[in-house]
Amino acid sequence: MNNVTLLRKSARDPQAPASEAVRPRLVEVDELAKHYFLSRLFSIKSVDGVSFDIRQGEVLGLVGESGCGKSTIARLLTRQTPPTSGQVRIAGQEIADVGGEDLKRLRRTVQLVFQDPFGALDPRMRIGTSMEAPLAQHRIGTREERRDKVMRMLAEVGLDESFYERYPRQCSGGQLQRVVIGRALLLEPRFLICDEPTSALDASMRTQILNLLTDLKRRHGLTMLMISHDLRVVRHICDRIAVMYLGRIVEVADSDALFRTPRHPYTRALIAASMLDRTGLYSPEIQLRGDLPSPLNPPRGCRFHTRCAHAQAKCSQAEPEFESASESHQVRCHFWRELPPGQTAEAGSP
Amino acid sequence: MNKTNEPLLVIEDLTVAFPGQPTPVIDGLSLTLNRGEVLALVGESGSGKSMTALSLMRLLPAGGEITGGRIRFDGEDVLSLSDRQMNRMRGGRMAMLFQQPQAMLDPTSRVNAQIAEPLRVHRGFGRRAAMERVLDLLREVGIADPAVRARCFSHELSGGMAQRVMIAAALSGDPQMLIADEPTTALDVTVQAQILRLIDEQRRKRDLATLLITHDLAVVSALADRVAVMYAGRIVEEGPAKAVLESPQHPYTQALMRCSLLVPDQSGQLLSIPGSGTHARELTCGCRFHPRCSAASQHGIASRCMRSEPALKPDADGHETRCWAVEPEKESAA
Repeated sequence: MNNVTLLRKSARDPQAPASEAVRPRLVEVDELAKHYFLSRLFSIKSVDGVSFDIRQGEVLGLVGESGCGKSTIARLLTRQTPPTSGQVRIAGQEIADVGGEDLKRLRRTVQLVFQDPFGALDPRMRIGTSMEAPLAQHRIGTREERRDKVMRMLAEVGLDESFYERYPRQCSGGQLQRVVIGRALLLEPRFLICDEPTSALDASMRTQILNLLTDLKRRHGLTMLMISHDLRVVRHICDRIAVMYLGRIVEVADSDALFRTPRHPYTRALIAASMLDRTGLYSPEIQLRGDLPSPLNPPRGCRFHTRCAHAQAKCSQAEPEFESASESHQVRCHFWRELPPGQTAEAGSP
Repeated sequence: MNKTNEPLLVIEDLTVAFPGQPTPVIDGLSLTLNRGEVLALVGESGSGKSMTALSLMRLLPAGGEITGGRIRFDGEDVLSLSDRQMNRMRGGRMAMLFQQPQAMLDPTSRVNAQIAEPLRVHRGFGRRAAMERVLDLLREVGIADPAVRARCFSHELSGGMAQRVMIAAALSGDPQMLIADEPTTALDVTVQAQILRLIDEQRRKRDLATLLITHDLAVVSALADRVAVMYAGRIVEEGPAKAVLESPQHPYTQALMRCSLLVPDQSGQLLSIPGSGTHARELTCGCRFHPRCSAASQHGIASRCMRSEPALKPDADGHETRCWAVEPEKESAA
């Protein structure tokens, strides 16, 4: 209990220039699994043995197709659903163990931003009221103080004071996403999870929101988990990126390294597909066969082998272990050393 | 140059308005679409691109009204067709794909019944012949195990599969024109590439004219022969895809390109267009883009941009742009 309170005090200290190595781990996820049991025999292994850490002030990207389990991870990290096995520690505290007041504090520490801002705001509530609600819930400040805080937050996310009185229907999607981000930040969280924050937005709104998030990260030293199906979106905001496939992480690396030397065939396909304009529609790298297999019955061996262009006999028999390609680059593939160099999507400039 | 002298689709000066709104949602739009050609209509949400598609099908939402202009499709005046003739046109010679295939499929009827419907209504197939043709179509759009999938309901399909089924249904009426409204926006990136390839293969095979509506320039560069960029109900730039994508002339197109690339500048900021286009239509005078335009201030032509709206002016290669900055200064005296 004290643990959380103490850490909270030092939460907003962006000036602390802790070097990478010394930065404490804020989020530790260990062999986390979530199986949804449909009957005694069948279960969907939505998340199946996932481990990762996020250091304080770091932004981790979590990328994969729909159905790969990335949103389930968001639900597990916020304790909206209990894990089947495995552990999540946030600020040193095992989240499965907290209850009562501590749970309330945990919920304040971790905030979520969803894909659809129209769905995240009550259409019959003025934006000011919506934003004040969580503050009231946590009994923070008097009514006037809450109003003040909301006004300041509106300015911080780039909206003027008139938004306080507006209804969601009077705003654009981009503006509402700013409201939602502002509302999450009002509780001064230490850890922000963004689940597809820009997927519902136009290209110009998307860059505005990404810039806002980058900016807030710098100003508040926020730790973030950015969930997206599009690698391009997470590339510039994330320090590290984890690629998920059917409930498992198949590759983790620093953002730049992942784009420069993607090791896993799935990562390569994702990069090629997101760079559609340059590589052309008929590039062989894009040609992933078919859809994601059903998580009800994932392929044996390497889960990706049914769609992999480089699959060999071994891939359908044994599941590869996580291997280190470099100190900060892990990959789950039998043949990552032997893969052809392939096109590296090193396309930094237009 | 074309086999026939008239393009398949000619839109002239189309204006669409909603009662109670001060300005039209589509304002004097002119476009042509040739046989076998892919024309991409690009713009942000609210720019009027989906309304354009719906006007072509005469499926505007309640209240929306075509107040001016002409639409000619294969020599016929679409706006003067009777409702009955129009019904025959839709799903027959004109077919449409939507952003959310799952929502567009009837949840209570099987896939095969939905694909068979256009065959039976428009092409007089009998029940058995239609069902056989359905299997061919499913195979053609790359659905594995067509016999099994044909008996599925839409909730049993993945997003990518549902869009393939929509494509099969669209093709079943043997259309001359396909309108694809954000066909891949709701899909995963990997599936997106597959669907775009499928659309590309089909239009080559069938010489299918395609109006591709999207806000994603990556999709445009993968498929389009020609591009028209819309802003606030107007076309601001139009030309061959290569020319528009490689040397965009209008400041809006240029900004849109930079946004889509998601490449940061030296300070680590991604380039974006300030503000939003939601209220651009309400501007009473001047270029509709001028409040968000960087060129307006840079070239010292801001006063001209605020005063009057530029016209679409073609260059030598048929690349048209609606911007004062690309025009010689002499007209400013007028």
